[in-house]
Amino acid sequence: MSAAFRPVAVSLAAAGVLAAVAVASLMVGQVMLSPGEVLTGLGSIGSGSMESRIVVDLRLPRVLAAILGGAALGLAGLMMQTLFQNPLADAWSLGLMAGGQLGAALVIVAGAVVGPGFLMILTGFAGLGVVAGSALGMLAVALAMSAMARRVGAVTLLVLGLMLGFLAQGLISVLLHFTNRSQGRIFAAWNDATFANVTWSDFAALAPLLGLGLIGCVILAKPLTALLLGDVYAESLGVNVPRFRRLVLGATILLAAPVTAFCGPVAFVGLIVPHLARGLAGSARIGVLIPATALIGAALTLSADLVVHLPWEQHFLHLNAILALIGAPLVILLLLRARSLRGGES
Amino acid sequence: MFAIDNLQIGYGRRVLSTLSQVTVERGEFICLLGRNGQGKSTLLRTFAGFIRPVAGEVRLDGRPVREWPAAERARKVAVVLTDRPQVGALRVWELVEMGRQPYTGWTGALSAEDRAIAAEALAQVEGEHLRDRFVDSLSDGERQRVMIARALAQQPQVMLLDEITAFLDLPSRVTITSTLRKVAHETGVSIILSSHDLELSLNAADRIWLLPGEGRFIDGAPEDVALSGAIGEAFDQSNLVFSLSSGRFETRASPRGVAFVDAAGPAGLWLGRALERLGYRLAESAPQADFVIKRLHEGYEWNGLFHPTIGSLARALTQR
Amino acid sequence: MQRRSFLLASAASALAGCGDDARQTASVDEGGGVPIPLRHARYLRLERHEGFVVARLRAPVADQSGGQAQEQTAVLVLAPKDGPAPVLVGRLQDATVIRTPVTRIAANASSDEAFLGQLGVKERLAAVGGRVSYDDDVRRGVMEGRIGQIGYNWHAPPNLDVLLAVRPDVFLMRLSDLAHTPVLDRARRLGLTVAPTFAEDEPTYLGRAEWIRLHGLLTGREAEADRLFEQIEARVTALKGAASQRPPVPMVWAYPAGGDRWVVTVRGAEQAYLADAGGRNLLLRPEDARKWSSETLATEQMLPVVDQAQVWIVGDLHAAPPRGAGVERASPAFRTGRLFANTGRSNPAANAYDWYQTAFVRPDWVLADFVKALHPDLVSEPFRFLKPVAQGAYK
Repeated sequence: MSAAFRPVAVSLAAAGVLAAVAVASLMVGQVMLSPGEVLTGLGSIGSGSMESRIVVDLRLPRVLAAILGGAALGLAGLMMQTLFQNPLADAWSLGLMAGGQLGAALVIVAGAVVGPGFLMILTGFAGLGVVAGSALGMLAVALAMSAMARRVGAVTLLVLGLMLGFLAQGLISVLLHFTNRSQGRIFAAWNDATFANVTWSDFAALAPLLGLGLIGCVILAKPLTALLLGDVYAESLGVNVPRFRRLVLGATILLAAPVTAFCGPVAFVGLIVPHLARGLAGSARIGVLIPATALIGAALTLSADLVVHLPWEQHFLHLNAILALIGAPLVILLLLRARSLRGGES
Repeated sequence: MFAIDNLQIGYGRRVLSTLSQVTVERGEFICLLGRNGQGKSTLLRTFAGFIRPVAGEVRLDGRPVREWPAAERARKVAVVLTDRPQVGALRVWELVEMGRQPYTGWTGALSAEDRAIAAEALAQVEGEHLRDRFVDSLSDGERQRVMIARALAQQPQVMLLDEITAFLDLPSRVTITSTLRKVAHETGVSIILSSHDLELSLNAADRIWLLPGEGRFIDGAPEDVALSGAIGEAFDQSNLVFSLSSGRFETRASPRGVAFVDAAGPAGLWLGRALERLGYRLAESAPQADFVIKRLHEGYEWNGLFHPTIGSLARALTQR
Repeated sequence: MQRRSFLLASAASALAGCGDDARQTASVDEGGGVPIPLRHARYLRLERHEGFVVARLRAPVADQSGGQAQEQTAVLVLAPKDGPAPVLVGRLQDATVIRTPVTRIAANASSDEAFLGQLGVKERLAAVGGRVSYDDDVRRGVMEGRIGQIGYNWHAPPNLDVLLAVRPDVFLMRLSDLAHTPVLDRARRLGLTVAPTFAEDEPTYLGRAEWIRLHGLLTGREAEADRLFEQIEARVTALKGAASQRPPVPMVWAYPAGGDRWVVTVRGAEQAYLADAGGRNLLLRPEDARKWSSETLATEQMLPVVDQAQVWIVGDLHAAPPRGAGVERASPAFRTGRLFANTGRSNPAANAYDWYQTAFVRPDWVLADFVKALHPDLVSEPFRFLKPVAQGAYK
């Protein structure tokens, strides 16, 4: 197969896998549905029948959220890895999601200060307060990391991100100490990442934001490719590097923050999907990797979500646990093989 | 092209060097020489517009180089640096085609003409056979050639190369230097190459820029610069001296004696070099020397003894 | 340490009062005493002996996966303070001696606070689980430092240093899991009198409430305890009788727990409330004493029954409100507004919830609430623990 066709083939294969997993996700659950029943359900929207309620009200939004979320996080990871020249960068590993967690916790705690009425607003307006809080938190950390990235090496930046994660966890634990139990429940429920919380009305906010982020990613594909060679070469090829950095961070936030806000902090996806895409497609050019990354990210995330929602008897699995089972070994493999990360370079 | 009028390069307030009137014309192959820390990289980066001069301006086609919009400047100036970016999974043709970015639209899609230019650039560095390889899998010499091809694909007026031969073996260094010279003369691109390879540069360059220290800047043809003694001034050390007669560095030491070489052609030349290495001065004629070494049909004769190789002769001389 | 000193003291007194009291030092084995009949409690046995009472406590501790955990057992010997000290021999050698009536009590379970409160002896509390008592007096006492804090209710092992400082006559310790048993042993080795309590583990709600008789024996309020329990039992019987005359009301007790999960009451004592109040639990599961009374179910598992639920207990302290009431909407309970939460007696500002305190002690009040929710005309007194909630509210 020619090198030019391989990325296309990979994208097509990923799309195929995605479609198959999507169909399976609509069929499988505590209540098993046959394909015919799924179609009936899809066809009878609003009829109130069992099939339509399960398929349309419960499973379809979850599946769509997993697809969009996985694609968005994969693309965000791709952009961050290129921007930071760091194969282990992504919204989760560099602590952006920790910033989002802290932002969400602060909003919830603010409810304790402002009063129970605030809490009603929090839960009433589709959790918009939590959404905004986590987005701002992510932005703050993204800016901090961007400033640090010039001064420290790849692995050090990663450790900084992980430390930020621990710091956020500690702060949150203390913060929640001062709230009452119900606020703690709200935070805990958000923090346990899941796509099952997303309702149809959430897509009104989710879809445009992710769409903008995707457009940004596509427009920035050419300078991102130049950045593969480093800041200096990119500048010599005509890229206005400082402005470009801001744009990439903006696009990354547009992709990662809404997913984190609506679905909680999802780990590993942005980290490993770009590597899978690069390895399978055999190319590093960003323009070529965008469809592959998005489709592989969606397929991976939806598969993990499917595992969570298999009809287990009594146990409820956590999405991040499944993603960790897949992701952590891959990261270990990466660390052992990548020359740039070996030997404790700093 | 480049025009400099009282340029001071450096960092912050620290001036590394001052250049008065300098211009760079089409198709010139210029080698930039100087010891470490004298400002070669700083000079190149100032020319490229990456860093600000301490005083004065570098004018590129009439405008200060930093005032050109990045995209337009990219069509005039291309750089090749020593660092090796981590470009996992990037193929050689993809890397070279990146050089066309200043000319392509926002999608980065290449036209047929763009592809032809990139292919031509790769051909100029004799790298067509590397086309489908991964950049990571190339040897150092091949990688530098490919990076030069990328810079050529940019179709610049000037190429600035910063010590690209630093990690290469001798054949690669020679190949690349001669390639650059050929490219400069055939395509009209001006090439400024900073190098530690003194002898290679003196042989290949049209012009030498020398940073001897103390903020000075010497500009001239290699032979002029050599004859002016500037090279010796810049590089001579207590134990090492640039010899104008041989055009290379020689160890400086009190001669152990004077020898006369009775041989012609290459044998005579190399025998002379061996004696100089052993610490002897060469005499013009036999009477001026302490002893004579004569080349015979299969060896060398000294002091009545016959030595089949210069090596055995040298050992004998050392034991003397 | 206590046992040894008792032995010495009683040996000394035996020597001193040589000739009489020989029967007070006799050992007591299983058949020695007269059992005090308990009608509901399964994990408590009381025997009256001459001059003291033996309480035998036994309870399995269910862990969440439904597996059977280690059985906890304890034997208590309750001896009056103004009587001779008992000598523990034979099978009672390892029992814990408690001199009654106790005047300083430490308790880390909020239900024990409620038992004592209902008996009118809450001023004897010297240390409690945390600052979250629903009783304002107790809570204020903790805030002001008059009552010690020995850890956040039963979620964490108790603070031994506070216990030592407070010097209670008895520490009523709720064991939440095996991890706390070493702490119990350690507390005993430090000289504290520890009595584990298993009231909350009883599989029936009357069984739980009947433990008040142990509290009565400990505090010298045996008569009040018996009277109160009979009153509770009578009221429960009356309510059950009245409700059984009506056709059962299909209902669901399930609160949202984030994602697509619901915590649903399916068995056990909580389910018994629903059944006894005349409800038909649409998500009923078979009884299993080893499992907890609620299970986590996916929304999909609830969908088949939702449109039959005429009453829905949808609110709880632990509810994580979903972003829309999509699932409940399909139920008649939602449409007719027959939605309830068990947060009636709660003080969110103080983080205090009486459902976890007095509800264990007054099942008659709880059952009255359930009957009122299902058959409003059968109960005239106002709601206590349950409260009606608006559509889309969960607290």
